[in-house]
Amino acid sequence: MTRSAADVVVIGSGAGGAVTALELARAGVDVLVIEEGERHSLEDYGASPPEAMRRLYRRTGMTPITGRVPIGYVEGRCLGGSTEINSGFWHRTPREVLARWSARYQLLGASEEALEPHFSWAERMLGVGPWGREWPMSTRVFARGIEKMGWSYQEVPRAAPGCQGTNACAQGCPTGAKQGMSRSVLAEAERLGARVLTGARVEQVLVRRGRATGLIVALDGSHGSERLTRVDAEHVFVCGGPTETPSLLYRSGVKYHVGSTLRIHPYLKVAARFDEELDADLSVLPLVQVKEFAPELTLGGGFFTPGQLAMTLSENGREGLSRMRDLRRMALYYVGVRGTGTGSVRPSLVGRDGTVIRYDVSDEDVKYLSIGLARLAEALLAGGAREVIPTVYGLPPLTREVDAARWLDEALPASALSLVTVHAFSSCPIGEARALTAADSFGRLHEFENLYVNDASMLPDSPGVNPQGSIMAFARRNVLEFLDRRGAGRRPEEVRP
Amino acid sequence: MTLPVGLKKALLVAVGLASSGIFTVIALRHLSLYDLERVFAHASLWPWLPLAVLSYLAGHWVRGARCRLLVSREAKLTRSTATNIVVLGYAVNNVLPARLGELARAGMLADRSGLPFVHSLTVTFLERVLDGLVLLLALVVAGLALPEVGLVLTTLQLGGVVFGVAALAVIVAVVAPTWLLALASRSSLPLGARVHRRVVALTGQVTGGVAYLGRPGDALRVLGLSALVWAFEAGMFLALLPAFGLRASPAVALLALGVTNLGILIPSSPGFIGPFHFFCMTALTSVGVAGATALSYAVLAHLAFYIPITAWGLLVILAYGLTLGETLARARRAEPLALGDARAAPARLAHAPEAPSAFLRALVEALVPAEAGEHEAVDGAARFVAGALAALPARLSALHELGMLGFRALTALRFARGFASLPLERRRAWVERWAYGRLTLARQLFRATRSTSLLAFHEQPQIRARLRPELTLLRVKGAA
Repeated sequence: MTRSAADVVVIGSGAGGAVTALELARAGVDVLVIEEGERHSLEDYGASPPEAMRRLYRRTGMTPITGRVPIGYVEGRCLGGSTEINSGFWHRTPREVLARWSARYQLLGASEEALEPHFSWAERMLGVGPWGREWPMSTRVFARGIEKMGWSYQEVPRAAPGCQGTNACAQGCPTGAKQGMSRSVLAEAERLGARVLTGARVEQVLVRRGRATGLIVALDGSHGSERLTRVDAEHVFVCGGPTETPSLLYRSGVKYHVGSTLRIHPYLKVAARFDEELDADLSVLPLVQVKEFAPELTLGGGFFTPGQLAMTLSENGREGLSRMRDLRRMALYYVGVRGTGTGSVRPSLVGRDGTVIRYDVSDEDVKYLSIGLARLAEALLAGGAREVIPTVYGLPPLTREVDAARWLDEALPASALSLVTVHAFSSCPIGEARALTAADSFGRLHEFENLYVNDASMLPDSPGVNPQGSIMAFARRNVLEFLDRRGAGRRPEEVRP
Repeated sequence: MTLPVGLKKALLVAVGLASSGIFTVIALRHLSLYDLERVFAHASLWPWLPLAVLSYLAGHWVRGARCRLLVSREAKLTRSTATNIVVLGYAVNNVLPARLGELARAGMLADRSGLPFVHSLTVTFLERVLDGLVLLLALVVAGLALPEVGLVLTTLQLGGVVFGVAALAVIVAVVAPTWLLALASRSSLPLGARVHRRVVALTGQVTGGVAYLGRPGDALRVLGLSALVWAFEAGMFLALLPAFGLRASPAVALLALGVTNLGILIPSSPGFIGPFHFFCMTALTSVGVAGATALSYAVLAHLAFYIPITAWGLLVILAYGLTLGETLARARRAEPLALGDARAAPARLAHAPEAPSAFLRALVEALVPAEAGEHEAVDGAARFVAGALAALPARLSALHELGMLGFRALTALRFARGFASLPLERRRAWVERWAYGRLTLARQLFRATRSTSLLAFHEQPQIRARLRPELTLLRVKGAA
């Protein structure tokens, strides 16, 4: 095993890690980013979904969450993390969520006003804005239905200025329009001197007497074998994402409130068949979300490819696949709930890179998913859908609003549900309420002088919206606080409320 | 008190030689040279001796296949190179004391594969543990067939302790490598950076050496090859029985195989002279064979065991131009990490997709709505599914493989044929009952395979073209 050193090591290069690296590099700190996945060029992006999943996704997109209802979890494993494969949808943390976090977790410096400069910075950095052109058909029919229902909705701003609608967000944007971290924040961090090591998995954070002293990192050897190296560091920011951060900390012996409070947004998908040709496989995903029932419920549209459609239809039963012939008339939508169940993340005793993720969908989650399905189906049918096929095994396609309305009062059978999620968080919550949190309000782990979390795992609980904006804003707030405490070159225009 | 290294080596050699001498004396007492000559004079070596040698050599060919498999994730060895590596180890053990062959074998493996030396040594150790377990199994089988032989139980007890402990260590390293690494790291951290680095590096190489067994299917494959190795070696012991007018009893051959090979674990001279003869002879006398005949058999078995492999090993050394010191030195050389180059780290080549088994390919074909002539799309989907299933967390992967084993067993019971050999329509109907049936557990077992099959199949260019012919037409027009 060889040995190397850096002043600050950032583990992970997603929304949290990239922002951390950028602000550290900007302050002149010697920073090393260690990323488990690989660096890819634009030429690598936009490949077929199976190839993209192999290159860019953790476990080829097959990360299971076990529990009462098994849930498929998808996250990125490449330079830039999940920001390379998400939709780029952008939300600020809702005011009421921030208030709840401040009250329940005693989270300091988390008011809407305190976070405003950080959200503004991130939005400028990523060019967050509206689509700016005529909506694609899959959005129009959805909006039509929502309007008929009389609900409020919004076009969600995206971090994708100049998006050409290639429908390849989930495969890595081949045009470079979507501002994944590798194109934007990390590129700037590297320009300012941050070093980035890819293809390197952190096996353990070395901790002793309340201090992190370094890391053990596994690197691919020249013949495909693994080589271990030790990286010494003065400070360590763990930004490996909501599942890998707690797993790494736990197996390093850092366990206080680590990995015991995982929250997710469970999603139930539906395929909707219309009379019109939507050609959803040729356009950007549906751009509007219903926020009428937020934060408990969000209705929106999902990525659409022939493979995604086939997979979704098959979750309803074998017969669903016959609808593949109507590919051009179909689109995929979802109901997402805030998630009130509880979950945990632990390093697996078994296996080489195993992380055991468990989440028990609560009865409340099932209730909201049922209500959400009813409302989503009503809106889609009102918008002209001929049938709505949910990912609920054996549930007949919903063809009339009265059929859909049944689920406003009844709960879907949990054993028949097929759920997915792309949003996980809260596995190392921050705040001053030590009985509930793993780290202080700015991400420093309790009992440690120099070990921090700064990614989705720090969010105290479900934000109820796409979390990239929240992660970036909180990450920047935290790293500026770190620089402040450390006395490093803080820029005068940055005023921390 | 710490002894100098040179003195330790000398002591080891002296103990080995003394052990060989003692076992030779014990084997020869009460026997006359005249009796031995008489037995040999009446022995019929043709065709039994060539058969025995061929069987023994075939076993080494399979050992080569096993070694190749064990390092296949990290290094690409040809079958002949892997076999030569194994043979070199055996040959060196035959001419040098203190089982130096194991080090030589690990050294050559490190040299040819580029793997770290400890990693290679772990692979060699792993092969030894697997061998031990199969030998114990052979003794169990022999004991069932020869219940009156007390020697079986004694050997099983002694071998069971040695290989039980070793197997337990291997299982921990296979099943919980990350935990083992964390344990090693945390316990050595207070000992200073230098010790910590060394301990962690060694642990990493050890867990890397056994990593191939991490997937149940792969572990079964390796165990199967190990069983085949010893089936061939048992063939050697079996073939030599008729040479001395003894009945070719597989149980006796397994007994001789097990007792002899476990017996030669005792330190002895190069080539295991003494212990080999003593334990082989003891195995035969325990089933009523006369002492002179048993010893003659042991001498012939030892010659079949010794001469061909030693000769082959010498040829390997000549062919590869090996000098052991160089090999070991090269294998131990460290490569420093150049963090200064970190920024420029390019994307490494993605690992090649997993090759799907015939079963998985047949399963994917049954799960997707492929039409005639869409074999390429099915192949593409099967490759993706194989990779996706391989990426499952270890615990779920094991459960999935167990479930699939159950499915295959039930298929064989139901149709009296393997799943892959069923006609497509029957396969589809059968799989549909599992993947889309009322039983939640069966649906969950098939969910990963079903979902990934459908996803990958419908993303294949051929299928996209079928679903959206107008796009293909547009592309052709565009290209024109």
